[in-house]
Amino acid sequence: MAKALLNYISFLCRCVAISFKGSTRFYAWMTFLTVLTLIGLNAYCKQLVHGLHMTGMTDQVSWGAYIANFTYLVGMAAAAVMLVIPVYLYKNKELEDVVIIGELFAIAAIIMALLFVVVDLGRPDRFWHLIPFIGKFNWPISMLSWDVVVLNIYLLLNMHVCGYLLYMRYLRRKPTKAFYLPFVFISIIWAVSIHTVTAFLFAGLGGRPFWNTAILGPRFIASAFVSGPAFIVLSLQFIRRFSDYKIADQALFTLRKLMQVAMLISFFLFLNEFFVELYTDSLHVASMQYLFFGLHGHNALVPWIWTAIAFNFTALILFVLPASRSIKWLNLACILSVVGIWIEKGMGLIIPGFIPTPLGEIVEYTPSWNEILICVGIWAFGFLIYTILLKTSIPVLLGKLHIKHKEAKK
Amino acid sequence: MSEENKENNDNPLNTGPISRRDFLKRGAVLTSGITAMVAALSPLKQLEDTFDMEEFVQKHYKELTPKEMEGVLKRIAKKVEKKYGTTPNVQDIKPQEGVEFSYALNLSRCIGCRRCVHACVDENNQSRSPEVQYIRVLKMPQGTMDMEKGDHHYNVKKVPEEGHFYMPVQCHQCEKPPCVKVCPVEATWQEPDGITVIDYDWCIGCRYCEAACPYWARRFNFSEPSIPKEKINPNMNYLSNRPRSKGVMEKCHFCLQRTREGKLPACLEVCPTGSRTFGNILDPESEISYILKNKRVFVLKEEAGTLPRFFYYFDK
Amino acid sequence: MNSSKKYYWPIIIVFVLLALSFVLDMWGKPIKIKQNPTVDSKFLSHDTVRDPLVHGAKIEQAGFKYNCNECHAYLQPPETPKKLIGAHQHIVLKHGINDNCFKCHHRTKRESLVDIYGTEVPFKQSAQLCQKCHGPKYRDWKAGVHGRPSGYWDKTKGETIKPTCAACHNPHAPKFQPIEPAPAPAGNH
Repeated sequence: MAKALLNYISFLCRCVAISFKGSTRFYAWMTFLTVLTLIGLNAYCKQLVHGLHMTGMTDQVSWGAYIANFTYLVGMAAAAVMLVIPVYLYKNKELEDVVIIGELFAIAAIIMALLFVVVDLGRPDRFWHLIPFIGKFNWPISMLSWDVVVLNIYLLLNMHVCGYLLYMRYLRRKPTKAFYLPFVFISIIWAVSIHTVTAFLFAGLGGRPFWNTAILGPRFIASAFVSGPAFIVLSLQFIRRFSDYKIADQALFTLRKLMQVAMLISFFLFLNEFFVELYTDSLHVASMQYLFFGLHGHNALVPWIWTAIAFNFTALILFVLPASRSIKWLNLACILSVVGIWIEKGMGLIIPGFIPTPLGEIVEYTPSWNEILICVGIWAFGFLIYTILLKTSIPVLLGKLHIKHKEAKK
Repeated sequence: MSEENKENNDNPLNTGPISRRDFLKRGAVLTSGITAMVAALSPLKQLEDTFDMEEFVQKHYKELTPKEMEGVLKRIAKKVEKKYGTTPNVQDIKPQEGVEFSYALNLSRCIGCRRCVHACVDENNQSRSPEVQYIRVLKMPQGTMDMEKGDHHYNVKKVPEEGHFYMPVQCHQCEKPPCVKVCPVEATWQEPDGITVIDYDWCIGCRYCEAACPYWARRFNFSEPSIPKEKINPNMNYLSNRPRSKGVMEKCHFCLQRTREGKLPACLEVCPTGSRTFGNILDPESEISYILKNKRVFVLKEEAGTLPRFFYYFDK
Repeated sequence: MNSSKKYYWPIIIVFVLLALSFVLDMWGKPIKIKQNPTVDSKFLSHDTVRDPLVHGAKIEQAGFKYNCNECHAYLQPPETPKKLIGAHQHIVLKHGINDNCFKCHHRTKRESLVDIYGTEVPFKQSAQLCQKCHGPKYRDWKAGVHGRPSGYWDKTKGETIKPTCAACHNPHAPKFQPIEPAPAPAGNH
């Protein structure tokens, strides 16, 4: 027992050591990310001191860049399941090597999402009020309580599956199916649930007709299943370039096929929403009008959303055309969809829900400089975590980092 | 690259032959990194309030014993005295039996003078900078209830203006409040006398309730509220008008520090045209029951299903 | 491996410069909260706009207060009211069909009012006079839903003070004049 614990601790120590050793480019990248993270931390400390007045949020637009990024990142985390389903349910061979990369990505994305929620709170020191039985947890009625539960459990699920499989690989032992397979299947359903719960957060509010629509959940899932794999496709190529890990092009093209379908569905759902809102032309349409055409002279979001639509449509065309069978065009499509969906789902979903206010007032929102620094800091931290996770797990997957023989025998 | 890996395999902690220069260099990098992190945290030294352990571990309002509540009220009184120089009377008045409050507003009488807005600010110790106002008066053109056509910022010499009517909106203390549904920590709930209250020491400031309210009735303290010392109202109540901290929600609570003692709310008393009526809806002899029986009342956004306790009517 | 050691120095410099920038607060502008002026206390007054003269009418002339009959006992009541000279000139009469003073004021007993049937109505109970034409409003006022109440809603704890009609409505020209509104919401950004 003690020996097993010692082995595990030595594994962790070696992982830590590896995170600090690398090429010049690696040091430059990590320093860059650390600098951005520290700037974000500094900005957050200022926000703690002065309050959320340091952001651009007001009583009229009370959720902004933080919740926008949170929504987007929960979607990215859910998209890891797009890798898990083919490999575990359909025994797809091409994606086998990259499943764990996807799950590691999910861990980083969930950590980022949770951090975005924490920086959005007015009283983060009262975080313990959310803990069931110790605080007062309004479950199952409040959708935010569901979100807290499912996000944390999803994080634990992925950490367990990845940690277990990686450690078994390190120990050069065959992983016991019972210890990871049920969790993998649970995580498939769970991934869809985290994003659906996040959608329900918005869709359940009767006072906000822009969000109070049944199509919000499906739109969330569909757009997540494009942006997530797109991000993974891009990061797989980075991994291929900067490490010895072999990733076949086939893995990327299998993901492309999945993204084709998801992007088609996502765009179709968007067209549905567009038609219903505009054809009905009722008072409930005001937020949509503000977003796409401007309302009463206020049109700050109009260029953003049309850029996002253009990006998404171009990405759709590229995905569908055989041209994207070449890596160059596939990359372009991925970048366009990642950015386009970030705009559409982040700023293009959260902000118009508040404009006009339920009393008809229009107050526009621009994130403040401090707010942007915090967002950048959290993204940098997420990339930092993702890089560390990859830096430690790729040697394990390649078999280069493994337990010493004499340790294993004992 | 392979040399490095060999080192990995032989030496788990990589502490092998490491030169002193190398060690010092790594140490310097680590130290500079930690210095940068500590410097990043430097704004925290500006945090004004010292950490209050009692407030940190304080239980939810509904779980406080009467003795604990006494201690809490004393602590709040001490803080207010220290900050504002006045000795407040901080109480926790429980709701009366057989009382359910309701409010009615005569839209034919309201002239949009906004005195209710400022009387409320005065009575309830709301922040002046940044501004927190529970009541918002909409100037509406006659002939429509479309609030998009309303003007919140009218600034004219005299009111009322021809061809318009004025509609003040504040928390309606709904029977089916969406804000109570969505709060993840139950920091807001509805009391037996119908008032939806907030425990300011329990709220985590996630602002989900603000997004959920169909009447834009809830306000958030984006920074530390600032109230001029001479304007502090010393008659305070735990659930209503004691000074709030930054990062928590607040909203109209029907002046429960007054109404639970039988008095009329501040907005009603200051209204120069007497447009407002308040009372116990369970009492068939009350004024509010008279209005609900005899006037043609309506509520805002009835389709939202919130069942507000705030009724509007036109009655020239 | 030797080449990577050269890059320790740039990293150290970057971090030290970063630490300096934090200490000198170079990231982000200082916070600016819009200072809003306190509202004029005239907007918080609970006074009714008029004195309803419930303790009887008095006129002030040359610094002294007089009862009505102190002058009118010596004056002949006219058959029809003439143009006002000498006193009460400030009164503008614009009360609908009430185009002469004696519709409400008693012709001989000037310290009381009179209703349409000739019954005397004391100033203290002026609402009884208003009631004769404004029935629905009077009923609302009696029920407590018209007018400017103050005090208590709970009659067991205290009384609701209900000012009489003349406390708000000028009986000579009852139409309300527009008043100055309090300032609009300032907004915080």
